[in-house]
Amino acid sequence: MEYKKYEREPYNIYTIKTDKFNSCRMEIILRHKFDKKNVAVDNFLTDFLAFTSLNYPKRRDVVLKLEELYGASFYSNRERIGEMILNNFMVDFLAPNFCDEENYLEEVIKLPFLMLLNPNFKDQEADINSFKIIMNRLKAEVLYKAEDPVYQCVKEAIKKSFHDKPVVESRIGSIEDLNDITPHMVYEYYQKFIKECVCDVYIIGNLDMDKVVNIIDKYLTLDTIKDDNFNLFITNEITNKINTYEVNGEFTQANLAVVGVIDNIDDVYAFRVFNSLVGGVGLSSKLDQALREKNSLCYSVSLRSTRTDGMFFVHCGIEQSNYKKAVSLIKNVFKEMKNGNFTDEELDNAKSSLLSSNKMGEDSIVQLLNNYLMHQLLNEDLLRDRYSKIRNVTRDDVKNISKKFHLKTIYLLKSGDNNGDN
Amino acid sequence: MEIINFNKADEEFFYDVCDNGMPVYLWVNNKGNNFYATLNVKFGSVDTEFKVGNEKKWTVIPNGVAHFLEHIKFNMEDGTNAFDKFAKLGSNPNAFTTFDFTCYEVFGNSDLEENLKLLIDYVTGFYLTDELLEKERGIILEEVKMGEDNNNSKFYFESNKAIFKNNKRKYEIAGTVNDVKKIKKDDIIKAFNTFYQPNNMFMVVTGNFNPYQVMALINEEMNKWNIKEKKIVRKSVKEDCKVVLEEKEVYGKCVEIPKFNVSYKIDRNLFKEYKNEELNIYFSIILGCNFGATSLFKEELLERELIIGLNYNINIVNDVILLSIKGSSKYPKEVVKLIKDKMQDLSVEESRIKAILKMLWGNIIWGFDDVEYVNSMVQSQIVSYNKFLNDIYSLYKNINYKDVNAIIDKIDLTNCSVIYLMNEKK
Repeated sequence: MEYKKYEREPYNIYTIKTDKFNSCRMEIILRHKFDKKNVAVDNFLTDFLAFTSLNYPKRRDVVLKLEELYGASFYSNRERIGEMILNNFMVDFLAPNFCDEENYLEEVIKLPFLMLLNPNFKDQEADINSFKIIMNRLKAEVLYKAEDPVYQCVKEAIKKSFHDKPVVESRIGSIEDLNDITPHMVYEYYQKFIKECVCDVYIIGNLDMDKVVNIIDKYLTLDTIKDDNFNLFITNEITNKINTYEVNGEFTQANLAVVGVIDNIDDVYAFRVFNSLVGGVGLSSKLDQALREKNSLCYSVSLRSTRTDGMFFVHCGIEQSNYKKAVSLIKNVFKEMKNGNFTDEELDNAKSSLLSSNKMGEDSIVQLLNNYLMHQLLNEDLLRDRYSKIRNVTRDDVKNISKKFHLKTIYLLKSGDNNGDN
Repeated sequence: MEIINFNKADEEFFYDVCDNGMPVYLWVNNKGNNFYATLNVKFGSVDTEFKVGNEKKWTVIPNGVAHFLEHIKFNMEDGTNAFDKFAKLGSNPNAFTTFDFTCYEVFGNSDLEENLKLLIDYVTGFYLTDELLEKERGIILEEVKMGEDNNNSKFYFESNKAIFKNNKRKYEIAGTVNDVKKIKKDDIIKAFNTFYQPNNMFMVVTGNFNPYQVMALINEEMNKWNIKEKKIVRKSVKEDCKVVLEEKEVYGKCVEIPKFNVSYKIDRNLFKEYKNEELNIYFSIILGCNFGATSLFKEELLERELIIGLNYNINIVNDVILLSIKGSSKYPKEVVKLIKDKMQDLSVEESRIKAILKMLWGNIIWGFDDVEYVNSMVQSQIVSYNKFLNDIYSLYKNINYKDVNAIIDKIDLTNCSVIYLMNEKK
């Protein structure tokens, strides 16, 4: 596997050449500073640019083109790391050696640039048909969230915990935010967006990378140099008080979220081992053992820790009458970890699981490319360089990391009146 | 061992049958680290009435036993569970139950031999105490309630209830809260003793390994299972094309945008000259061109702001074919009317067929990047078609415009069920 960086003034191209896969993947990443007031329009634009362009005005036109390219796929997403937003445009496509057409590679590489750099604007407004379709879809996404008790519970618990921090903002924005967006606003936002974003292109596959880079240079006609300086790690205040909320809900099952602050993490490998040990996949984690296996309180319990947001949460769906017991068991898991009450076997299993998932990542085109991106942005090690560092994590390292987890909020979304406790 | 060439894809599969009768499919991927192994039992949620051996009387078990048994299986006789043992190997085990089969799987990248031994050991072994039964019952009840709070899952099963009169697909796979409470230890023991036998199982292993060594190991491990082959007779269920309800509204919690499902129940015998695998491709092309991302009809409904989303599904269940068009809309009744009109006027442009088949073939080729994809492909073929399709290329090549139109002409729209998911009335 050959990693290479091609530096250009307005953008950089990062390539991984490998013959391990039949498919290839290219990601065009436009990065900018998180701004609370632009969340909705920024997300809208990300959707709009993957949906329509002057070259392919209707989504149907894009899909027909993708079919021709052996079922290639082109889509976008938007994510946040700390106070940086990444607007990602991805193309997954078949390696050219499986295709008959001579110009296949250029056709597939140029497609996302044609979409991104020729947005479907007329008279300084976003194309109204596409605008309406995307608007309806995004509003529906917001409304669908109301149907999801897990999302409702975790979102409210995080809101209560972190108030005005970026983690509180939803990816799409609210219905009111969406109502404020106009076709002209999308046009205006794009003008600023395309000038001010930092642009990177990442590509992996069995490709002649010099040839690929030439094609990118031909179609990626950006001409500005950008300031690449973002705050990627958010810190949160640590308090000794744990706030408890019990809120009425409408669902059959009660949902419990326990949210907390993670203090500055300096040992990323001990942090990962801690997460694997406490809330890893399978049923062997501390939380699964305590809540599901030993007490049958839930079907599943999950732990999500985000180093860059300095926060974590635990979630499970439970019978409401078991609420206090579940909270007590969750608190106890964190307490036991701080006291070093975990066995060598549990530590070894957590490390084995991490080593295994690292190796799995090396078989995944998506994870390899994402890892290269995180290597550049967060200085994370490449997957291939992580093995000995995982193995070297000690009991004391994990014990020390566990002291950085501070519970802050307990949030219960109660079950509805007519069902619940039986 | 038989070597099966996957036509035009430069891939080889290996096939053999264990001494005790269990078929095994292997695919070797020399480029990767990972392996994926599935041990599959042809025992699904629909198998609730059966006879085994020379039994005269039908055994009837409650709904949800196949799923309950799947949960029980992870507990092992030495007081540990299979999850703990796989954790030591750094692997990810899991299991799931469908209408038609139960799958036990493990995903990992080191010590394949130990993983396979463990997989076979815990699936073929059986250990159940009263205490374990109640522990799993508690967990399953929470799982069922989780499903009750999921509108999509609720809508799916409610749709099935309106479509199927006799077929057990009308019941939830895990059962209801009441079903789960009714399940007894004896039901689970009976189900295990009936369905968990080599001739009712198959194994698929995909990854980087020596196929001959792996096959020898599987055979050796299966030989340790002291089991006598028994004949299983499932009570046959006749399902005619009449739907149970032509129109029904069901209610979910916090439904802001209604959903609809228009399902046509069609006699499979109308298409006798086609195999199921051919019919699936033809119907995919027909419904894709008329209701999918490239259809003008869908585009128009989106632009007129009549729908939020629209998709389709094809399901061949024994003697009936189900063609379903589903979506979400603020005006579901108006949209359903338009869908019904469109179904009377289906068409496919000839030029589209080649492009769609090119796309489908591209998807197969890049599926070979993923041990899980390949494993699932073999698994679903065995379950759906009772055979491994190694020549999908020829299957695609034989798809033609004339037959597309012949099939469109034969679609019988008489039996239709329309289900709406609306917000729960307060």
